[in-house]
Amino acid sequence: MTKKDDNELVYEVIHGSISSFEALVDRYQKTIFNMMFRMVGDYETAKDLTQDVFVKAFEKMGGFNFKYRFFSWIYRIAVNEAINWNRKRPTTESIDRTESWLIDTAVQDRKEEKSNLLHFELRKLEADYRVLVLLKYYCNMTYEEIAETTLIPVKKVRSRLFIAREQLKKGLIAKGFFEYD
Amino acid sequence: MTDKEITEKIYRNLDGELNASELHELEKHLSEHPQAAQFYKEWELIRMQLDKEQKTQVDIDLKQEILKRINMETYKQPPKKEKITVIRSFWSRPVVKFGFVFVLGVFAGFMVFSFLKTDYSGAVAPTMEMKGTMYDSRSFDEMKNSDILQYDSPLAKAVCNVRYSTKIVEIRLDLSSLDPIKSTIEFDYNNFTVLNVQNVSINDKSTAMAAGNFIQINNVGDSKFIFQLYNKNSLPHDIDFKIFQNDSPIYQNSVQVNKE
Repeated sequence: MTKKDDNELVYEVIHGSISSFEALVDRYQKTIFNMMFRMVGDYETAKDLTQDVFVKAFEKMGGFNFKYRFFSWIYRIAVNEAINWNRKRPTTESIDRTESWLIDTAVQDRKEEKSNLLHFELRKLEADYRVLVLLKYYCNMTYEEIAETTLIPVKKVRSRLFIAREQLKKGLIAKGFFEYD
Repeated sequence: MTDKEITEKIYRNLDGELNASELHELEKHLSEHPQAAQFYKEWELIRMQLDKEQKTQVDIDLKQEILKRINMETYKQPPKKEKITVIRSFWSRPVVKFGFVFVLGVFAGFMVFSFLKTDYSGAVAPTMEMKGTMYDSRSFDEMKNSDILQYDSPLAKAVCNVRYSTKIVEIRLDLSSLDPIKSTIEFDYNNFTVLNVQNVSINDKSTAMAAGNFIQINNVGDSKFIFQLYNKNSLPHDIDFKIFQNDSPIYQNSVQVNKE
């Protein structure tokens, strides 16, 4: 049996198919959850937000425009959810928590520590920049796909990613990221 | 290449966006600039770490929770409204229709207005009865009266009737003399221009000629002339009327036009 594409599944969901919606959830829940987790830095919050994304997607699916790709549409909902959550919560809270957790796990092996440092520095980026890095490196999107998802022009995506990378690297250098090798 | 350009190229290379020639250029630059090479190496490390992170995704299954929240068994999606696209021909489009009706209305209005305002009573007036000047729709009778100069002596008689409208000054001159006399009508060329010199009733010895600032009449016997001047600025100005016999002035007077 051939795998149905996203838009076919969306069409079926609109016409009342539960199994098609389940298929879409199966297809995207993992990447969306992981992106959320990196955005908010908290497992339970990421779980809740991922559920919210799919519930919202289901509710809005009737108005889905088949001109666009489903994945950029659902990522847009996810990005908006994550950014809204970040705006509502003080960012220092989760960073402090991550930092204290980093100190606790300082004795862990170096490989894990490097990963933690990267997480930590990602969390320090502004939400608008962080989301671009995550879409680029965790969701493997092209610049055009990021632009479609975030509704930001490609040129602006490039320039913002440039700034985000600069900030990320600066933070990593300060934390001694490159001294682990 | 500037630092920013090289940084941008490094990022693009890490994203696999450079073509062969750009890659070659970058490699050359990196081999010549150890600092840039170090920067590139650091970013390769970050990229590698990001790739690792991407591969080690947390496995999770939220399907049941999501379905529970949606409660799909009872949830009914609002039926999607089918978009009805009506394809109209150009002439049946409302804008075109209303536009056409509007233009037609304006045209009809114009026609009715023209029909009602036209004066048909004088449409068949014979040419002979037509009054007025060539340049003014008003007849001499309807013009404003400036003055009537009269000279009466055994040597000569003259009646100079001057009237004016906004644009025209009309002078009707009747001359009568047994011996040759000369008469002039003088004016400022800045204010008037001669439009027409009409000999209404003259004999073969009388002549009238016009110049820039005067009209000269040489008369013997009975003559009638009509002169029309273009009234350039509608300001009060004098027109002089003189009669000479043997080059000696025997009468001189002036009239004012555009009095009001």
